[in-house]
Amino acid sequence: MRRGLLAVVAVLATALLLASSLGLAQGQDPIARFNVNPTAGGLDTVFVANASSSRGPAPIVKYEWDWEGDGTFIEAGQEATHQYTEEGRYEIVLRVTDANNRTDDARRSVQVGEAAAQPAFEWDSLWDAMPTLLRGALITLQLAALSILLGLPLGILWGLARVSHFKVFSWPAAVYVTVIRGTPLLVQVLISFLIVRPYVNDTFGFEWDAFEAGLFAFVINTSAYQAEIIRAGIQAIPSGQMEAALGMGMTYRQAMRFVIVPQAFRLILPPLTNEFIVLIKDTSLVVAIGMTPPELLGSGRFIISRTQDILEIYVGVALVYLVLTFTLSRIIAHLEKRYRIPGLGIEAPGGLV
Amino acid sequence: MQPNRLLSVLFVLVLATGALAGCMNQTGNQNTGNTKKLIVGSDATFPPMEVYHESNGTFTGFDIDLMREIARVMNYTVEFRNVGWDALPVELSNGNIDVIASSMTITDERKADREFTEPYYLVDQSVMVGKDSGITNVQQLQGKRIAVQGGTTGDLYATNNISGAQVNRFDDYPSAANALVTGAVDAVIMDRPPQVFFASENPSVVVAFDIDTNEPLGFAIKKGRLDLVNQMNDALDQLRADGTLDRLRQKYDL
Repeated sequence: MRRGLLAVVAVLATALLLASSLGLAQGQDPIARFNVNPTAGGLDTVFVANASSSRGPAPIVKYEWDWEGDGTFIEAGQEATHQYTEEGRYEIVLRVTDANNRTDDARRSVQVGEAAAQPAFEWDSLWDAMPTLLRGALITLQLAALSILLGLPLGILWGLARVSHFKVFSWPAAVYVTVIRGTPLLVQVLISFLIVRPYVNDTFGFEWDAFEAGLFAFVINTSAYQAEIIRAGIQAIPSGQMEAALGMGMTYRQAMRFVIVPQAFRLILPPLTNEFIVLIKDTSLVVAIGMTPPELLGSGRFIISRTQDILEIYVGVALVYLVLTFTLSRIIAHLEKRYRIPGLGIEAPGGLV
Repeated sequence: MQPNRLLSVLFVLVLATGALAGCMNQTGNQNTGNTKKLIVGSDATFPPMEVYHESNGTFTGFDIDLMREIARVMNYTVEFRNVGWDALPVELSNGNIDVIASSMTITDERKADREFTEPYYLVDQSVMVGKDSGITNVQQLQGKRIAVQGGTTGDLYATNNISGAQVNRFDDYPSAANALVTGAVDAVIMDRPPQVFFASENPSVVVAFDIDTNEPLGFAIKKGRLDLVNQMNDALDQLRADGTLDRLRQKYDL
């Protein structure tokens, strides 16, 4: 009995819903839609427009076409053709009328003849994009600077471990350096983003996004390179100095701290800053993980996705990278000259990067 | 970046070197199920469907607007994230995003690892070629160089249906389309709306013809979250009934 009542209520409700949705539908305009093929051609081209994708709550009874975009509509069927007598860009307007006498318009553009020649390189596009690119460059610098700073302590630890006489330290360091330097940075970025990030977010409740994931990959990567730089710096100090220091009664730690490391630090300054320049360029790899807000290359690619100015934007992106790296290399060359140890290492070249 | 995020990177680094972890406070303010917020991932390099504006960090497009309307009906707040096309399914399955709104065609293969809402739009593939190429049908594509976005239904079509084609897979649509402009490829196969948008901005290329695949686009949701699927379907029904969906389609000329 109860079930029967429910069924009746359900049927009534459905009927009501249907009726109301029909009522709504009657108050709606049809939707005019059409395709035109081809979208460009010459004076001998027959343009075919097809409005079969138009639809409406009520059947469509009339298709009118305005081929020249000048307001003169010609009634034709669902499909209409036209040939132009003059070259130019035309807007085709379709007006559909349904059984309720409601209308809707749709527009498509076609090109007849050669389009106005586009300038080869529009400086305006590059100029307009500059503020966005510079904002991206700031994020690039932020990413690279944080990576090098966070990577340095790690690199020093691995580097010291690498030259240690104890295999417990030197072996893991050798494996670390080999693995990290032997795999592409892009792969490390993807692993960091797709595997490490969800893991640490789940385990520690962090909120890592693409930025943090990219930063993590860069820190790990640069620390391995820095470890090698530091190892080379330490080993470049003649071994006689260590022997002499030990002979004078210093411990290994004291010899490292007061004799080897201060000299090594000045030796490693050039390759270390070079690593920073490399890192600035390498941060562009985060486009693979769609980082937003985007860094320099990412900013350029988002602009291109809307404006399609590939030439101007990629040239602009390259220019900004060049300005960053060039400026940095000049500063570094200056520092190198100041802190050089006479007779140790090579003199800083006066040239470019 | 907030300082505690920076600290969190440091923290993991310290762990990685095996040194003392210290007593870090866990932030623990992840998006949980009851915060009524949808995080939506989108490969936003796809006008007019999804576009990202890096100048102010906003998203626009048909999918984006529709998703906003759905969230409004469901009484959720919504946050959009740009995610590369390849990474979208991974992001969905590991819970970093709740929904994919990225012109994703509902296919059996994709349904195996994610849920889909009801279709909200039917899309055809289209072929874009150089203005003077003379290519007007599928047969003429045989043996040609074809650009696609890797892993899209356009990629599947080019790979499976065009014999002898050399398929170049790009990681986003603008790169594929621009390869045509520079002459690196002979044709681009992709959903019709972005192709029409691209050709309208670029007089050197035309949308030559469509391939009537009639593919349903749907929003993807993590496997098993049927509650969300049902809620979104209800919202979609309502938006279809009150004319919002049609209005958005007109707005984007779809």
